[in-house]
This record gives sequence, structure tokens and C-alpha cells, in this order.
Amino acid sequence: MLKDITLGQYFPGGSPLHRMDPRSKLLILILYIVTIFVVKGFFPYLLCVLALIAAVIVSTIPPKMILRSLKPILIIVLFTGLLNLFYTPGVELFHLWIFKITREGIATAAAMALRIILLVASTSLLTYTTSPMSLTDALENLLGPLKKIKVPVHEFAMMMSIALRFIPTLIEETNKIMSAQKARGADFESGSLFSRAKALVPVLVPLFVSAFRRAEELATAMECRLYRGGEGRTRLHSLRYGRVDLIAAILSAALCGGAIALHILL
Amino acid sequence: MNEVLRVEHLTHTYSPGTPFEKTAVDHVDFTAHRGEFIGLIGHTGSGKSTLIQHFNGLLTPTEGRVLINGEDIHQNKDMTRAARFAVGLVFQYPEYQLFEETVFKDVAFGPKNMGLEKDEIDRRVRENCRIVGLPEDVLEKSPFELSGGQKRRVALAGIFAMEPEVMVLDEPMAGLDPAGCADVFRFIREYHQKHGTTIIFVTHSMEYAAQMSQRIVVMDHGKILMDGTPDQIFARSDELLAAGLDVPQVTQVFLELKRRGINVDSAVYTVEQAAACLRALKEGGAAC
Repeated sequence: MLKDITLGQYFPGGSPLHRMDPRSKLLILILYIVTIFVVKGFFPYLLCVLALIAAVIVSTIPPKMILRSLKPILIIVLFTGLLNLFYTPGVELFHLWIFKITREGIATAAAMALRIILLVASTSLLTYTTSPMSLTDALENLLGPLKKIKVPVHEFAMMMSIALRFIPTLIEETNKIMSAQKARGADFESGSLFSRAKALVPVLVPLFVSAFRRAEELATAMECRLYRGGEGRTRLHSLRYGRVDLIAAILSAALCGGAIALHILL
Repeated sequence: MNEVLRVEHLTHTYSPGTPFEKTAVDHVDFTAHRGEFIGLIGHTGSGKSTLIQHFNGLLTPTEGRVLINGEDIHQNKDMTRAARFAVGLVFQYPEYQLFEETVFKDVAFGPKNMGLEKDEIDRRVRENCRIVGLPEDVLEKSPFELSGGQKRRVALAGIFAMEPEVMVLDEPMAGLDPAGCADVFRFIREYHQKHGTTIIFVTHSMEYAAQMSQRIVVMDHGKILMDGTPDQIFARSDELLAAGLDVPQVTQVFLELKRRGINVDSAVYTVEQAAACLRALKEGGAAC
């Protein structure tokens, strides 16, 4: 039951998208999102959709996975689409009782739905091709200037890395403890809501005990290795812009420029 | 012999259809008989932990069947639940599953889930705590106050008290000091003799398997590599070594003696056998 939770959803691979510097991926994603919210009209969107499809093909992530990431937002897309469809003033095409559909309504609804889909799909592509660890590294690096105004960026990033690092461990631990208690006849699947909540006590108590134990062990281990915070710390895998990043940057600048140009010209 | 547990063509694949796909158990056939003491051996990742979790229905086979007393445990929900009680499973480091306020309550958790009478629960808890060597006054203490070795005993007593037909123990000695190991060793044997339970003892140490079991099953890469009496298994010691498994130290000594041209039997796996063998060699000069 817990194995269905895919946090971070990283999909290991060796495609150019996987090999890119996480910082440039993050920045390109931001640029892409800005673009899809700035532009309007058929051709700019076509360009954005094609760019995303191209990126998915390059990434070797199965398209099925991208579609799966869209499933949870289906309702939001439908809801926004319908609201825009019925409540946009403009040239009336169709009238039924209190509902009326306008030409502008159709356009706005399609645009909004497409924007949300592109937003989620492109973000998923980032998390599918980037491990949570390199994402945190990228964030720490990009937010680095905030250290000047005494924001503890390194500490936040470290906390985030540790939390991400321990999610799978704790899930595994939970599974183990659940199996052990099931082997002793604990029943997590039947009974009323109350009795099911009560059945979790034999899982939660050992889980908390072990989480605290792990935290303490980790703290000791870090201190043994003289961890003193981010000051003067170097990295094993330093982030580096490479040729792939340069190509990606040029392509995305072209995409953004192209989409905006199409938006202005048409 | 009376068969109690059988798996047929059991296959288990983790995360099918993703890059993490892994077949941990690959078409395994295995039968355990009533009262047998079986050592299940294999190194890390050989699939032994996955296999044993099928015995009580915690994992559902991707392919194949698990039968207890001839009945498929996945035919309905009641059978699966009955399998939990028929096959007791002690996980690795079982002390991490303790949760109750007192040792008594924790040991009673399993029997209580079985729906036993209060008197019967009381009897089983006290009896099995005695078998694992926990003094009476510990029963009312919190399990979290105890030492590591005592916690392990409490956890084992928790499964013992369910009095299953088959008991599977996954590395029950891991992380204990030699004295603790010897104790665990002794009371598993005591329990086996008292109840005639089928014991499946999972370990990666040939040393323990050789000392304890009447039958040894060796797993490698999700398949059963060997299955037989310790004599049969250790007669193939060179194959075990080739599979990256350990053989008992005595056996290693005898393999080396044989390699140096001394006429000894390399299927020796206990110190007593070794002594007898060497004595025979010294007196008669004949092979043992």
C-alpha cells in the first residue's frame, strides 16, 4: 500500500536531460512556465507543446508516466475549463437557459486547460529526470545570494536533503514493522475507522522510536565527521554547466523568444 | 513424513514494469514436513527473505501457490488470515517491533489477535517467557527499559506464544554477543523439542545451519541451489564456495587438508566429526 507513493518520482536514466545541470533545468523550467503564461494564441501554444513533446522524447521517460502525473489534476483542469467556458463575455455562439458559450470563452477555456497541463507536465519532467538530492543542491546554489542577508540557506537545504534522504528509509521501516505486526495477526484492513486507527498504534510506536534513534545516530555520525554547517564546505559532486546545458539554454531561449514573437506578430 | 507447508513454482517480482523490476524468487518448489528443523541459507539478496514472507501470506506470489496442510492460502481472506497464525514469522531484529507498555502485553499481542481465552493467553505468555529465559519480574516492565538481548527474547516469546505449526526465524541471532547467540540457539531448540514445531531457520552462517539443522536448503539468485541433509550439502562444499557462500571453519580446514593430499573426507562439518575423523586417521591411517 505504501509502495504507491512515489515521492520525488525520480526515474533514473542517462539521457541528456538527466545529465543536465539541475540548476539549468530549474531555470529553464521557470522560463518555460513564464512563457506559457505570457503568450496567447494558437501558434505560440503549438510551439510550447511541441517543445515539451521533444523534451519528453529526449528524456526517454515513458510518455505514460507523464500522462500519469496529469491524472490528479484532471478535476482542476475540467473545473477551470468549464468556468472559463461559461463565464467569459464576448461574441455569443450558443445559449441554453442561463449558460451561454462565447467564442472568447472557448479560446480562454482551452488556453487555461492547456496552461495547467503544460505546467504540471513540464514540472513532472523535471522531477522525473532529476534526483531530489541534486534538486536540493541546485536550490541551495541558486538561493546562495540570500546568505548575504542572513538567510540560513545551507541549513534549510541540509534539512531538506536529510528529510528527502530518510523518506524511503522510513517507508521501508514502516513496511517492515507493518509486516512484523501482520505476522502477529494485526489487521489493518478491516473494521471501523476507529478500530483501524487503533490498529496503527503497534506501527506508530516502533516507528517513532526508530525515527528518534536514527536522528540521534545521524547527528552523532555528522558530528564525528566534524560537520559544522555550510561555512567553507566543498562538494564531492560539484555542479557544473556543460555543453548540454549550453545547448539547452540556447534552445529554450529560442523557444521563449519564438513563442513571444509569434504572440506579438499574430 | 507429514507435509505441512509447500510452495509450488513460486515466483515473486518486485515493481514489475519499472526500471526497478527485480525477480527475487524464481520458480521455487519447496516442501517442509512436520517437526523438521530446516536451515535456509543464502547470502544477502538471494531471495530468502522474500521467500519466507510468502509462507504466511504477507506477500502474494506473482506466480505459483503456497499450500498449508494442502490448502492454498490465497483462496480466500480467511485462509490468508489463518496462514498468519499457522506460520509464525520472526523478522530480522524483531526487537524493533515492540510497542506495548509492558512485556506481558507485548507477548500477548499475537495470542490476543488469535482470539484466545484470557487464561490461555496468560499460560502461553508465562510459559514462553520462561522458555526464552525472561524472569517473572520483567513481565510488568516496559520493553523499552530492557537491554538489547532481553528485547530480542521478548520479541521471540511474542511469536512462540502464538504456538504456530511452522515457525520461521529470519537471522534470530544477528547482532547478539556469543553468549546471547548460544542462549537463543538453546531455547529455539528447546521450543522445537517441546512442541514438535517445524522450524525454518534463515541464516547466512553455515556454522549455525550445520550445528542445528537436519536439513539444509541453499538459495542463490532466487532459486534453490541445494536441498539435503548437512552431510549431502557439505559433501559439495566446493560448490558452496563457488556460489560465494561460507562453509563451516572445520570444513575449510578439511578441504585444505584434502588439497594437500591427506586422505580425509571433506564433508566434515562439526568439531566432533572432525575429532573422530582425525583420531581414526591417526590410529588406522584409513580414511574416515
